[in-house]
Amino acid sequence: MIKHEHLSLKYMRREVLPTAFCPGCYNGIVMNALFQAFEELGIYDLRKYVFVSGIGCSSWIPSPYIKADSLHTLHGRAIPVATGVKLANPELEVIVIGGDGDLASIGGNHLLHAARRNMDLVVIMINNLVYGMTRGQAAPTTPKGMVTPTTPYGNPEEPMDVARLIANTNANYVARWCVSQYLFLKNSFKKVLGEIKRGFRFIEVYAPCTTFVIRRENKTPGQKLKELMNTCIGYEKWEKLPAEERTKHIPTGVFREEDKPGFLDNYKQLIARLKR
Amino acid sequence: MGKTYVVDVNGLLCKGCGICSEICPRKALVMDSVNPATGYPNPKLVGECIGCKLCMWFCPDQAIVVVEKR
Repeated sequence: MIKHEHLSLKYMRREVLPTAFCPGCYNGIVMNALFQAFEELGIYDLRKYVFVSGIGCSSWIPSPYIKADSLHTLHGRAIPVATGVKLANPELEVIVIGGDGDLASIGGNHLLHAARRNMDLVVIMINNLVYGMTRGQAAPTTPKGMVTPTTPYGNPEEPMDVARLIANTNANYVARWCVSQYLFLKNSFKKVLGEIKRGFRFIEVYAPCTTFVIRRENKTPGQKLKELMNTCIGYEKWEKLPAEERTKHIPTGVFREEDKPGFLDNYKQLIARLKR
Repeated sequence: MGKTYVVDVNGLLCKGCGICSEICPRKALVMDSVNPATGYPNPKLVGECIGCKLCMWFCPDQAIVVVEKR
């Protein structure tokens, strides 16, 4: 029998496989969706793409697994480095992949200001609800009442809704999908890589940590994935729910979609005006 | 009609998380014997595969492939 290969493997460095992620980690599913988007767009050569990441489990995705140029930078500083890469060589398409601990907590300021400037970047934030790499402490995105090592009696704080926060800035595209909504996620990747080619494009992926969230609930990754198919609903539907039902469901969807000129276009316009 | 599919599992990449057997709409995959090379159980096709490719998309370790049998 002919040995067949997974579609993602042609975009991955084979010599570092199997991945260092926990068994059942949803990061791999996000990788599948991203690579399938590349394949459906007919992009096989990633030489024009640069992947930038910070510190965290999901920051492991570009380096070492993606067969393209990647920069593994300081904790939380993926977006400033990516901004530098994009301004140094505007020909390149720069993609930032990181987690909620990297992009939303320590790098939250950078995220907000890159979105405000409408910087020409694609940012993929994988929200696993905790600081997974350091054994599951409470993060800004941890839901209220969740038990973690730093909140043993339940988290008293309200979580931060990162996708809606960025949707209120100047970004071109903001979406949030759950990892169980694979086709929506893949189509969103296709949109930001193929259709909207400028401005700040932000996709949040809701993917609870396998080890520190799902195992605490005594579930397997497969059971949780099937549960997420029912708990993640469109935000129009979510807004009609009564208040007590809202906390049990996760609003997903495209929150903002425009094709405004990005930072580089505005900057080039300024240079042209001053040269006259 | 009459299309048949086979499921190809790369035993060296599979970590035995069981997502494929949970997500399969026909319950056609079971976590079978432990692979001695990795120490993780690997999935095995026991029922009829309808080719929905859910297991392939949701495999976090890029270990499972669904192909049409010719």
